[in-house]
Amino acid sequence: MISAIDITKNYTGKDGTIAALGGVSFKVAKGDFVAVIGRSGTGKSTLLGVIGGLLKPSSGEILLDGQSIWNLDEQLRAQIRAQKIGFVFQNASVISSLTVLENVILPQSFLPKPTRSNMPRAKNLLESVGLAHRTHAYPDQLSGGEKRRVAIASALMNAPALLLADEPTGDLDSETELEIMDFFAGLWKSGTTIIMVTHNQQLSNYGNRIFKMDDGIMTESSGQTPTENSLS
Amino acid sequence: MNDWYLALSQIKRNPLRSSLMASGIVIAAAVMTAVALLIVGVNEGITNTVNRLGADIMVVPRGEEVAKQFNEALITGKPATFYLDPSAAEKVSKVPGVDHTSNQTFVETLTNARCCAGKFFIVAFDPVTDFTIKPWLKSKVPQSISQTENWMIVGDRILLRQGNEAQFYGTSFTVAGVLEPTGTGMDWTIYMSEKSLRKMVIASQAKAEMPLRIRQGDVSTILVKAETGVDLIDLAERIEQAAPEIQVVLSSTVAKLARQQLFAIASVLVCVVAGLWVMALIMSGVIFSMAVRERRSQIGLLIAKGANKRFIFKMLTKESIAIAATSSLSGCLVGLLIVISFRELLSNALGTPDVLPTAATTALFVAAFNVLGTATAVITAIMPVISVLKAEPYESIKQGRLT
Ligand SMILES: Nc1ncnc2c1ncn2[C@@H]1O[C@H](COP(=O)(O)OP(=O)(O)OP(=O)(O)O)[C@@H](O)[C@H]1O
Ligand SMILES: [Mg+2]
Repeated sequence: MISAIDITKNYTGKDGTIAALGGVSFKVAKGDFVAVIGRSGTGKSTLLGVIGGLLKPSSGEILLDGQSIWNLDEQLRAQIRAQKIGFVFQNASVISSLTVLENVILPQSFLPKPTRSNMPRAKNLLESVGLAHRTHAYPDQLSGGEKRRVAIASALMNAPALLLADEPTGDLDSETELEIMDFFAGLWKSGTTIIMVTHNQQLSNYGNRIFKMDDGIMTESSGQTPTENSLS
Repeated sequence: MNDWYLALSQIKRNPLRSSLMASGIVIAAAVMTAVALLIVGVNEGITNTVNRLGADIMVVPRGEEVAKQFNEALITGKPATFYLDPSAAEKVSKVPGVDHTSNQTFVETLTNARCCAGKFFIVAFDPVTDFTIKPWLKSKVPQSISQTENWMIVGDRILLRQGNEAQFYGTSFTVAGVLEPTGTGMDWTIYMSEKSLRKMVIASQAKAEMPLRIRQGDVSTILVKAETGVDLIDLAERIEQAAPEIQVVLSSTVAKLARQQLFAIASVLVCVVAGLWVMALIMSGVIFSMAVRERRSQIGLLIAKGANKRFIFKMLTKESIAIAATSSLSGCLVGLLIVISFRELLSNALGTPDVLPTAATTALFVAAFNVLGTATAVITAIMPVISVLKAEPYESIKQGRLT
């Protein structure tokens, strides 16, 4: 499903150039659940951005279903994001001017042929993340963990084939964390490909593969490089 | 959920920011509309005056100050006092090309009449020779009144109606007729007969605190009706040659002089309004772009969910359109309302018969300013936002606070 070929990403800022990704290559097959672990600042979020078509790599190529997403024009890339990719960001962003329910339905508007609002699906998703009772609340009336769950529901609205989740359980209590992880496991079972960044060693066991980031270099935790181990 | 929905939700959820952005535009648009209406309204007053003067040529004493006073009196009804020797009238009427003349004598009066306080412009005329006042009478003067000793005819905006009485310099006058509204100084003028004026002058010596001093036979202006086909410029020259102490005022010069004054004031006002408008635009533009910058992570999030940059651009444009259009429309209406509700006060202050243009012109101005206001406000709001669209969305998401 995804092939990354020698991805590098340099940030140029006031303190010179930082090489956040130093040549990352891997393959992820359809139906994989990949946990990406690594210390803070090693480039995990950067990698997710590049895969998701939000952050242009300095060099290298990302193929999604055989399509080199960074060679497409901006509109087509936006379409791929709308149709195929669900994002859950590290900082749990939601649209503050929309209600919980509106936040969940929102991604539908970006599908190439917008269908009629799929209200039942949105409500189902909210129920799965345990927020059915807060559908009409605004984000500033929610707790951090509740917002994160809204973000998760919203990311899944268009039934993406690929879910990119950056510490999706970052500020949740262990019980809710478990619920969310079970929910992810369910998604995985029903065929969604998941790439999840986490600090939590335990959570990495939910996936079938573990990638380890270390200063912009990625290895699959079995000790081999992911490319050799991939199930392409 | 389209771009409009998102745009409006932003406005709704940030009422303080939205109203702050709108307030500058409302104020500036109100002032802009009010000033424009005033300028156009005053200009219409000048045009009306010129079209409704009735006389081809007017003769007044020589002197720049006199010309200025006379102009103001015609357009605004502000009292003017200057006098010509009676011999001048004689000379003018004999100039070849003059069909007939009618003399008028100007008096400034203070009144403590119940109807109205302040300075009034009284014009004494000869009802027999008159050809400029009577055509404006609303209805025929009833016999009974025209035979009363002291009658007067009042302009439309003098608050007296047929049969009312008022005292000037100790003499009582009865309103015999009211003039049609003319949109000129006539609306604010009180007319009486030459004979009554003479009586009033004499009576004032005994009755009034400040007696009138007008010499027997003095006139202020000689109104000239030219013979048909006579070249007015030539005639004016002949008249000036016949009587060196006088000057001739053509209706075209009345307009020119008045417009010079108007444009002097108007250009200042236009500069002030333009400055105000630019400030309002900058203010709302800065607020809008600050708000958008603050929302960068939200925009990044929309992009992550599949919005392309065109969608974002349209959404932000529509947000600014919604704010700019409503605020500039309400500003224009407020401006219109100000002019309407202070119509009388403004006319008096500006010394003009009216400050409101015709309904059609007014509507056109309000509509035009609304479009202009909206367009410029949207452009200034959107320009600085474009740079936000160029930034990489992921950066802004990461920079965004936890919302
Ligand atoms: N916009 C940026 N400009 C400059 N440097 C950046 C920028 N974004 C990230 N970096 C740097 O790139 C490196 C990788 O950042 P990244 O956010 O990918 O780390 P991470 O592995 O997700 O860390 P964490 O676990 O703390 O989220 C860090 O050293 C970071 O300082
Ligand atoms: Mg990170």
